[in-house]
Amino acid sequence: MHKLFPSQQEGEQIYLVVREHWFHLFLKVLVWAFFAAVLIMFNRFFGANLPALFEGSWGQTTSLFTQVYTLFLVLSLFLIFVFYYLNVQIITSLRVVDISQEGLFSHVISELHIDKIEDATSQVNGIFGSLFDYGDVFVQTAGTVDRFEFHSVPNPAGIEKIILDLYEKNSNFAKEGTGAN
Amino acid sequence: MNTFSPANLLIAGIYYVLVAFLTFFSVFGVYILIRYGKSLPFALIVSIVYALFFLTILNQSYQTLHSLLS
Repeated sequence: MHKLFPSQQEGEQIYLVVREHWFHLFLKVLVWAFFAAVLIMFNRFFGANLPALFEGSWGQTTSLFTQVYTLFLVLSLFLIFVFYYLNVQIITSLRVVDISQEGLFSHVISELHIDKIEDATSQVNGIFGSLFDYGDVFVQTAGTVDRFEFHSVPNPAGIEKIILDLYEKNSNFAKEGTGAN
Repeated sequence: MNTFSPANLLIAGIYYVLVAFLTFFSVFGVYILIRYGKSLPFALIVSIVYALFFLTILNQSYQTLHSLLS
């Protein structure tokens, strides 16, 4: 069986796999595009106004600078994608899993069992959040455990409903199992 | 490559430090993508495409450095 997370059990049903909303990714790529545009503007502006910068040994130094700058750009675009791809939230029939790549050297997997859930809240903020239907989902847990937070996920109300439905289903199943009313 | 001139030595030094930094983060980025990615074929395709871009530009920059310092 292909496992989505290390502790996934045999027969555990995956209900939802969710990543950050595409618009958030788009905003990051937009910031990246600004830095790429700076390079293009640099070449255009200085190429027209200061051609000496692109000739002879100065030209080679400028060329070396732009090539190293391009390496930075390529690396940053790659890392934007890697962080987007590796940060994922999974809702299964047994638990809510938050897999978080917090940096290149920090990979955190948090799990919350459905029966530990006390409350779930969804929140949509801002013009773009309302327009593209993305926002945050907060899952309140029992005891001293911190609440689970899903940031900038698509359809937060739908995710909240799935979590609460699973909680209801699980608690009904537990009541039937113990014979309680 | 003439690295006896202080200016050349400085340019080559800065270049190699930056390239070492970028290469380290690239290799680690590819490693975590393959290590933690949910689909190995997809992670490999992305890594190969990235490596192709990165190594092409790296090669160009090395050629430029070489002609600048020679």
